[in-house]
Amino acid sequence: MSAILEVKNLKTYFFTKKGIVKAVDGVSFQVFKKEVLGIVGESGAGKSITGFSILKAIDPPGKIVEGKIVFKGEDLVPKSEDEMQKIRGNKISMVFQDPLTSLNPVFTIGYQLEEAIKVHNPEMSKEEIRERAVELLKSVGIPSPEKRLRDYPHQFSGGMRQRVVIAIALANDPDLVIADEPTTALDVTIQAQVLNLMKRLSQERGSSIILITHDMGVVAQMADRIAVMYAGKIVEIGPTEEIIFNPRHPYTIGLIRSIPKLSGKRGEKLYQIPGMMPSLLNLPPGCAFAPRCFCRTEICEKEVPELEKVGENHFVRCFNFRRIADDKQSCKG
Amino acid sequence: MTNSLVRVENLKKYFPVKLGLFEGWYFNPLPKRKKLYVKAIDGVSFEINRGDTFALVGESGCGKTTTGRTIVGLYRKTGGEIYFKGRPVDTVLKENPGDFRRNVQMIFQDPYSSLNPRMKVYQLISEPMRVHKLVKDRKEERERVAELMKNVGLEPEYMTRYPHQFSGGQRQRIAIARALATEPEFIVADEPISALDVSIRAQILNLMEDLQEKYGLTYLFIAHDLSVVRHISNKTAVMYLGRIVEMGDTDEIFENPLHPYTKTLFESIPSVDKVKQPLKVTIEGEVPSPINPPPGCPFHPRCPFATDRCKKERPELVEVAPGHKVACFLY
Repeated sequence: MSAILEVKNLKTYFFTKKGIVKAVDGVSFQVFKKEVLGIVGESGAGKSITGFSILKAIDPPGKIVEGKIVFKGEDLVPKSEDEMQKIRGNKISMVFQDPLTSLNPVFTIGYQLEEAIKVHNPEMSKEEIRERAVELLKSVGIPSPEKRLRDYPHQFSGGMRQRVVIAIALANDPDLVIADEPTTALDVTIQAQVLNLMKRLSQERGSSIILITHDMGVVAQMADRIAVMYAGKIVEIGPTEEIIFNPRHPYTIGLIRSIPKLSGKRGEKLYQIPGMMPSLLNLPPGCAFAPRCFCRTEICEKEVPELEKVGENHFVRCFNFRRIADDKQSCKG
Repeated sequence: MTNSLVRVENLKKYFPVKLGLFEGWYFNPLPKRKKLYVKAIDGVSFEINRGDTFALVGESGCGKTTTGRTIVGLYRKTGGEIYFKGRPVDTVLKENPGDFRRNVQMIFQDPYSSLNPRMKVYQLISEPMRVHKLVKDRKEERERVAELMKNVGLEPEYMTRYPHQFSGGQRQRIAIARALATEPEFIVADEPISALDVSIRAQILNLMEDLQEKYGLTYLFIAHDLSVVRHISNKTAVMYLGRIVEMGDTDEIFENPLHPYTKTLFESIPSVDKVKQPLKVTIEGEVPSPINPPPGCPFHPRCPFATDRCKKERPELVEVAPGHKVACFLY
């Protein structure tokens, strides 16, 4: 299997008055064809900035200071803004969290959808573009698409709006869709509809998806592989089953154990990770998770661990993962 | 003496819809239109016993928050009756408003907007005590604030700080301490953990459970996340379009859901219990507008089992097993 996207040692820093915020600090991963890669983490973990960095949509004071983003054999980092414009919305597109703010309220859905097609296909005639737009709206399950093209975003419900955003994202058959919390603003029954739609359409069209979310349940059911981010770094990455059933990093272990289960019982104490994520302005010198970790040793407070292979495609960034006992709660020796 | 702390009977809350420019003017040049209402809650009845955690679940717009707010008294009810310790709230409020307000407190969803940014933590927590005259002097007040902060897991030294100096989880702890300041018996918690980060949620849930044990609290827990409800509550009511469609013991509801809507909710919720299983979409369409709800059963336009009867008649809550009530003609 070949990777369509390879991110190598990506570093995106924000140079603020208070200091340098290392929002993304040495992130590397690959995305394969037709694959869904889930990126999970808490707010401030750097998952959204990773997504924006791939599109090079980072505004000052932010800057990609190091790393490579190799998309279909080409590095995007040295590319100019003009060249990036040709890629955005064409080969790589994005679905944002809030469909109400990602659509322009003063233009019709039809205008916005047709614009997305026209920009990247200047040779197409008006009729062809209109046809394409109708077909796209139909494919995302919007009834009477010809009529709805003339409607404005406020005339759609939240779920329908997100379908329109997905239609725009898929307008030019992208190779990669970056979906940043695409269903966080939606209700559960609508969420299931939208997520299924996204997965089905991308599989039909052969697109890969990077699904950014904080919801472990969503990635567990949607993703082929999961990357767990903490304080700007990937702390664990591997196949979905491995991450959920056999997590090796203390943070992943804690995260999965702290989520209430549908099959759970009342009165059972939930596992809680003590403390909270450190400020990115003021990271501890060693492993960023060390202050909250049940298995930390001296070295964790001094040095930053590297990603280590623990299984087939399964990597973990921890000095002590071998010492975590089988019950995943305590530490050996 | 019964064990019931709060009983709600046929509670209704309608919000009028503003229609046009001249609405409400003395001189209205436009033809009179029929007044429209959003029927946020439309006949809800339930009973919460002492020591219970009663969960209200449903999607946005189903009326769960409105129910909570109406019980606390933030909204004036349109119809129905709320009983607190067996007496109608209206009478209680007339005779002794302070007592009811001291006994019933609320925790809000967003700790970023529920705490006054200009007040220090000390002021935030001591204000309710002062309002209800629960402390004699400054010294006692200070001791109580420090004790409350300790009990919710905050360092008492932080009492001179402002809310913006705390993280989301810590702010929610402040909000909980503020709610506890009046020693209430009943707390309405409106999505207290939805605005928080995943690793912080477990901390707040555990804290709420500990406090319940310590102070003998009764919770009305409003949530949309079913796995959280399963964890914290012993009674659950599922709401849809302003009505309760299913209600019973949490274990019973989760192990044996009967209403088609409840089943759908369970199937569509993503969970780490269901790794790599495709998400099930058992119903299409969206929640209809509460301004113009469908006649008959509110769920019938989306229900796979809908019959002609569902389109005309509205099913009432009926008991199908001890303590398990469903509003559906299938049962």
